[in-house]
Amino acid sequence: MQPHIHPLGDQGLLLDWGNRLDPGIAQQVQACWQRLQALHLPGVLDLVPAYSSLALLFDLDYLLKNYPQELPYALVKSWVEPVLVASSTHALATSSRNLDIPVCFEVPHALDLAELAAQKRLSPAAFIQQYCQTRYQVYMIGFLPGFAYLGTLDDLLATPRKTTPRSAIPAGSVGIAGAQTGIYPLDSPGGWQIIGRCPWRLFTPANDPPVRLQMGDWVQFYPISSSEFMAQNEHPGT
Amino acid sequence: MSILVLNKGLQTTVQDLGRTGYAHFGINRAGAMDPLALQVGNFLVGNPGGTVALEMCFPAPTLLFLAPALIALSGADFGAQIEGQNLPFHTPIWVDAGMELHFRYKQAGQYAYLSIQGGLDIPPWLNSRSTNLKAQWGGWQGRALLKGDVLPLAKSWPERIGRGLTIAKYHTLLREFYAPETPIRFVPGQHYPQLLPESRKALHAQAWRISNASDRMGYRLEGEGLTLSSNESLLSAGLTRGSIQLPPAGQPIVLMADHQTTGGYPLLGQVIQADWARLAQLGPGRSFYLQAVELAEAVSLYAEQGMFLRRLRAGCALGRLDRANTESKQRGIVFQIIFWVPARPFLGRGGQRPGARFPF
Repeated sequence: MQPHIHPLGDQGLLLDWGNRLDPGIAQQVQACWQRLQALHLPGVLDLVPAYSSLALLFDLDYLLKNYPQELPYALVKSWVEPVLVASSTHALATSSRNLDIPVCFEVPHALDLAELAAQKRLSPAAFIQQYCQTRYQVYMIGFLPGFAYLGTLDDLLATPRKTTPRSAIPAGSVGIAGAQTGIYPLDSPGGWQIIGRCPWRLFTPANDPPVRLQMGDWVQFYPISSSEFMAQNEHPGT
Repeated sequence: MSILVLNKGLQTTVQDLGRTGYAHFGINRAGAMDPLALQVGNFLVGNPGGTVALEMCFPAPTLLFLAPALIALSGADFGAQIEGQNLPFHTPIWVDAGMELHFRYKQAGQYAYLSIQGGLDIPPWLNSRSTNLKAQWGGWQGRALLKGDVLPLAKSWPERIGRGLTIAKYHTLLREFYAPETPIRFVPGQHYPQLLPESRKALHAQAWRISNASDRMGYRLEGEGLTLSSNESLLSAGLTRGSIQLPPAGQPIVLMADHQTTGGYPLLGQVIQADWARLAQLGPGRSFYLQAVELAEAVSLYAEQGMFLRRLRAGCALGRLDRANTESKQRGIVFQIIFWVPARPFLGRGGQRPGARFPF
């Protein structure tokens, strides 16, 4: 499937595969993103892949200076189009990483777990087991540095966001929002249903890259106890 | 060789032109709210346009120079003063060690910049010295300045130059880029065609007020609410600065320097880059009209601004500003620089050498 291309003002363009949450489309976005990254197109500042779209932001100064005869949008579009044809035929030429991530589902980390499990008529243990048996895909990074949107959650577990967001959620908290799940990389306000906490730091500014999860990674969670959490805890000041 | 912060001000941050190439990690660009003013200030002190500078809101900080420095103020006019002397903005100024810079009132604009020749000696993070307030990293310790901070200057001069306060007798006029009556222009975007006819009319016909709940992340607009023909929920997608989001309540939000990298609200369009500076300087409480323009016009307006900046940079970099002025005139440059008249070059304390030039 070919994406629709349209301008993002005078700053770039959006490749848009339609407003659909579909693992096949996500795979195309990812393949396209990786091909574009590898090309190092001149004047391209940022490539932002998401569920079913890819934003490309360019340096208008650079393009005007080096290609004064061209409309920057049309020029960059003409660079991108051939890549799209190639990425839909080549499925995934990529190395998807598999990560196993520890999560402590015990008090005091599992702020909403008991309530969610009760809602679903499950025991907390059954909820955790169900949650941990799926391998989730990183569909997108956004909202906060290193915040990975993972999917897709089993229908049984999917739960809307809290009606009133919390003003502070500690870094590492694992949450559910609709059919998505994710880990807060920083202390932040937020409305996701919190079911546990990961001892890992997902965002470490001094590292290269500064974030632990990337688009296209596959993640499976496994439960750990409070004492294991303490032993593995990388969060400062806790 | 440093500046001591005597009073932190409302929100003083260290900014350059921002951090690109990391949006796919969720790390936003940050950078100056008014990139035009940042570059102008830097050119006036002989820096590359994207050199790190202080971005100040009002109330602005009080700063003590512990070493001499060549500075310029740009963007908003906050009534800057040193030793009782009013400082013009968009003008190079020599400041000596021991001088205190303070700001007295909010005259015009929202974000003022203090550029210093050589910039600040702070390490870059991911290729930028901009402060990322959300990540609490980059810039100066990942945060706004606090009283007692000592900011190291990248360039050092002899401990005392003995010139006193010296103000160049010229300044750059940027009025055309900040004219408040000019509408804020945008290129219609993805969901603009879904605006109901009366909403499309309302978008263009009314003055939008910038809400007091606006900040470096976004300017929230207040006016008659807008409605789309579809209320389909959208998957999040990558965002750019200037994006005009329409949340369900119908009051648009224009994303600014610290915007999130992704979002899922409908997009009416993107404010053109040539108008980022003007919009940033309007600030909360001010009103403006929106005007849709073609992409090609957006590009040519930006190219015009780029040409102005290149000419300014060339004029400043020639070292002999009076000569630069003559040459500029010969090239038919449209902006006006009133150059330094050497007859009364120094306004500060004694001991100056008449005819001394600014050390570009």
